[in-house]
Amino acid sequence: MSPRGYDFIDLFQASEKHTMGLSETKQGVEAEMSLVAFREVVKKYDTTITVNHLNFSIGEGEIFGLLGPNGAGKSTSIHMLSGLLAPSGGDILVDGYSIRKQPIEVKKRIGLVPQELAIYEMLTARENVTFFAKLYGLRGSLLRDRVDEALQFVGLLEKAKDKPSTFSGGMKRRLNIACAIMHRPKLIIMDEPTVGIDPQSRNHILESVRSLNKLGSTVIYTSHYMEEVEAICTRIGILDQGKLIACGTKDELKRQVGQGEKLIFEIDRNSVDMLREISEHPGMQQLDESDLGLKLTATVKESPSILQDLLFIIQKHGINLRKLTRVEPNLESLFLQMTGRTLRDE
Amino acid sequence: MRAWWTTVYYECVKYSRMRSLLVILIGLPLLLILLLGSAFNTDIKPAKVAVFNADHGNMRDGITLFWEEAAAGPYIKVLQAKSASEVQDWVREGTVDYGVSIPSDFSLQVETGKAAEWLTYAGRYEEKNIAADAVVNRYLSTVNLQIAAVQILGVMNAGDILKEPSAEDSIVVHNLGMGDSEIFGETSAIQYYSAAYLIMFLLYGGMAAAIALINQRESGTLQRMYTNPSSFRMTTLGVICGSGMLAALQAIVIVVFTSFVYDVNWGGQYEIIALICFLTAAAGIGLGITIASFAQNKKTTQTFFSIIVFSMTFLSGGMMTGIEKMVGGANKLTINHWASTSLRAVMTGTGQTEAWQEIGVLALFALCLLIIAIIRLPKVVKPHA
Repeated sequence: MSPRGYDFIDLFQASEKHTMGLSETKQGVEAEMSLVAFREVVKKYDTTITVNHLNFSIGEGEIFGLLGPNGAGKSTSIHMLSGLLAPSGGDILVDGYSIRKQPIEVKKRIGLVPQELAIYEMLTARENVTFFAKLYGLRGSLLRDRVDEALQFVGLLEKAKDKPSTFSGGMKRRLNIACAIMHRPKLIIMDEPTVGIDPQSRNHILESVRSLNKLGSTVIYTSHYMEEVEAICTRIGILDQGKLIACGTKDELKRQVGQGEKLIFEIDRNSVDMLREISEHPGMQQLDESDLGLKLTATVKESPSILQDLLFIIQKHGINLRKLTRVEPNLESLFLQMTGRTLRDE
Repeated sequence: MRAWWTTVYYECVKYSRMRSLLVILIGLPLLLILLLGSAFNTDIKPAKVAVFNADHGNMRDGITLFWEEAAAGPYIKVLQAKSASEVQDWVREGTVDYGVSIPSDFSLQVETGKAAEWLTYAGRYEEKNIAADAVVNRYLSTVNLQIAAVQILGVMNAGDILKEPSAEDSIVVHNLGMGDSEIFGETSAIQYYSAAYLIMFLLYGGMAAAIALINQRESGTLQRMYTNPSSFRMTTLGVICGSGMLAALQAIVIVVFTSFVYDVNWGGQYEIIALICFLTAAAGIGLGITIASFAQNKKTTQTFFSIIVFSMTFLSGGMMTGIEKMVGGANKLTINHWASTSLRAVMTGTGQTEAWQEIGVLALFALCLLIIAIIRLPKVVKPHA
């Protein structure tokens, strides 16, 4: 997919909005600023509440990571957003259109990459993409161009005449993506697109997500792999028990949780006075000793400001520093602290 | 409408690539019709007889006339050979079932009062040898009787007593009351089984719709269709109609193939046959979707559907003729009964009023099953239903 292609999509979408009288149909002022807006969204199954008054927005051009343990309400939220499920309460706006009142307009703007390999084994790669493209109303030369574009984007143009049954798991995943992007959606929803594939294909898919985002698409990305979310998402929302318990950039999440980074000092000898002075530092959250007191692990709030202080204290007591290691908190530890569970918990 | 057509088209493309499914739905009924139709067929197939007539005497024209008459009957098919050795070759190769070589001095021999003799060559099938022998012996015994009469009574008197030898009535088949007419009604065995298995496999074709929907739900493609802006009803209908197209293809291939290859007489009223096939396929689709809505997965659906269709075929006499009398009217609760009896009525061209009544009951079955299927369809197609 060329950048030129996406310039074209902007024009296409602009003209589409104009013809549909968007200003009259869009809802709410905030909707103008965000591409996706969950508004008090509730989903109930009998007495079970799966999604509980969910409120958050996703801005245009973001890669939004949606995290949560199994049963947190991630898939339900995505299914409501893509029109597969009707919300029991509240509403979801996409590009200003309500999923309840204008589902067709919402669906036109969405490309869903489901967790399952939603492709036909009996059709070739080209036929698969063409079939779904036709359901999006594409016809003629535009259809052919978009199908080629999508296949080229995922690196399967040379395999266009082959059936997915001859593909590797990674190639099938890429075809799964091609079937969701050929109509150039404004919002691409990727539900665990890298499950069960080799690292090379995973990298290819992650690169594809970045490229799609650079070309103008907003992406909602769910995954069990924290490192993927950390690597590509501009903002992250953490769902637990149907509620959004945290939302923001990785740094914002760290601040929300208050979890600092770790500084590991390996020293040649220990001193009680030095330990007391370090532990009494106002930026210190926790201090642990190991290796007979020759290894100190300090969990601190803002390392740049206190690192110098701690180095000064060590030097002041005449102790030599052999090694200093700085460990930033990762999403896994943040997630664990917020939900009390790891992402792969059943 | 475009979404519907697109889905139908791609469903057909997919089915065209499922060779094993096509073999089961089209090849298997053709094989079963052939096996059962042949096994229970009591018709005698005509014996192919090669005839070389070298005689140029007075009896030549009479002999030619005799074989023409024989060929007009149902038991003999005559092929004219150019030489006696060609007759032998044909019999040896199996090109013909029986060979007759008439010597060049046959007329002379008869006229001089010698016994009439032809050279005959028996083939590999005993029943065909018997049929051909019967025809040959009828001619020769008549001629020999004439010779004897001439010798004893004189030419004039013998001519009064004896007629020209004729092939007519040389083979007479009597029905003792246990033949085709008793077991298969007015149809032949192959007609009976053609109707029964066309119906059975059309019902199986209906199951293809339910399986396609379950497969697509489980693979997520149905979910993907649901998230696109085209009408989900139309795309779902497209998947179902794709299976309907498969059923149509199935019916056309079975009817055309059995007509031309097995010589099955379908009665010529193809528009009524098409209507019966349509109603049967619709009933099958309705039944398949209804079962799938309760079974929820592919394996259970296939198992239940197979048991039901198999039982219906059995109860309606599709596997064992005459079972209808033993099941106390339970056969009338099956789709197969109404579809098969109406098809057989069309085949024989008898009881048109009754045929339409049977088609009416079949339509009622199809309508009820389709209504239930429409009500239960969300349970099959929606991942969260």
